Amino acid sequence: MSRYLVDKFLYRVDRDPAWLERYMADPARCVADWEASEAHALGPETTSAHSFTDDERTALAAKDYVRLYAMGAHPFVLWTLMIPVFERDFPSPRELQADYANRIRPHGRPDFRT
Amino acid sequence: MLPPVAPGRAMAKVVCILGMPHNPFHHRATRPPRERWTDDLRNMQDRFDAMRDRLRRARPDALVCIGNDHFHQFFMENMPAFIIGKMDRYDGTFYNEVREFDLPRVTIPGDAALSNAILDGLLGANVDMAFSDELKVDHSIVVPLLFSRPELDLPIVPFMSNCVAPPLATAARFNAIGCALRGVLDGLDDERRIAVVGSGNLSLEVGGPLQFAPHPMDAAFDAQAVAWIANADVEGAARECTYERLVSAGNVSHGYLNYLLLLGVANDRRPTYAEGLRRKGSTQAYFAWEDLG
Repeated sequence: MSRYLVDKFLYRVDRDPAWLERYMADPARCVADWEASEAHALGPETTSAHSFTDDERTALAAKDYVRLYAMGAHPFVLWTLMIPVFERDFPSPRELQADYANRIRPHGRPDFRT
Repeated sequence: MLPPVAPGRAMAKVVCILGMPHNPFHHRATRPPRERWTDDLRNMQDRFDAMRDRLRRARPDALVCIGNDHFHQFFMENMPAFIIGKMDRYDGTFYNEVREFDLPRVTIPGDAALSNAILDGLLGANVDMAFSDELKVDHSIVVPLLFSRPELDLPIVPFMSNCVAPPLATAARFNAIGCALRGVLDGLDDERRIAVVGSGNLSLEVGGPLQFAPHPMDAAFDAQAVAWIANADVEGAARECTYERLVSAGNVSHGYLNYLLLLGVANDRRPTYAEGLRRKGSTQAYFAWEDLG
């Protein structure tokens, strides 16, 4: 399990319009591309300690925020990315906020410390 | 311990300390003409207007701005517990804050020499500060300034804490850092008037099951939290504000810790103004320590 790497994906994609566009257009492809090119990048260097589990990769590729939340993805970082990903599916931010909260509620408050 | 200040030296004065919310939606909410505002919004703006008046009355020459980065510049590959910016200019507002909140991109003057003096003072007092020569500030610094000093004309020293990525420093440590900061400010060889503008929140949830509920996350916590500051009850706050208690009040309630830091900057004295303003989805805290200089 790499909560850290899941959070890194969420954080980096949310803060980069080009990656955000790729995630919204084709999430599975985006996750694969990001894993190949960015997951281990530390500035110009690379590190090797973290890798996605199959569950994490699948959940990210499916935009399955309920599963990611339950696994302990950082709630703030997860939500921040899911706003642009899902906001167009709802008539207003209020509906998205309520729907999102209702779906994650059964999972309570998972530990999100990395 | 800090070295004693030599007699006859110029001394900086902390003239005012203000604590307020930094809700990133406030800017957009207050764009329409005032006659279209709800009473709830007017109430909030009245509090910010009062903060603006207090800051103007204090006639500061420079501001120390206490905030916390929300996963904008800092992430878990390198997460400073407390960090100070030391630059002569700061850019504010990140891409996703423009995207989600319509916050303006801003440029705020800085004062690298003042930052360096404060940094040296804190390190000299055995506070192991991180520092940054390339710091961009997010809504925790920008929003309070847009409401309390919209001219963005005073040089700032940004001072950021980690309130979002556990593990966090303890509540007692936040307060002690504030006390140490005040000691340094009081001892600066600088005759300018310095105001401290800090931001945080009470019980609050973002990305959790209670987010955007039409009521405060934890009204009992909010009442206690305001009272700890109002009564300068550092012991009570330090005892009760464990990581777990704060999470139970909402997953980002740790923003309250910055108010405990501000209380430390006030030498743990009672504020001249303290209010928990009950609003539709949250209670918001406003604190002021005036007439210090």
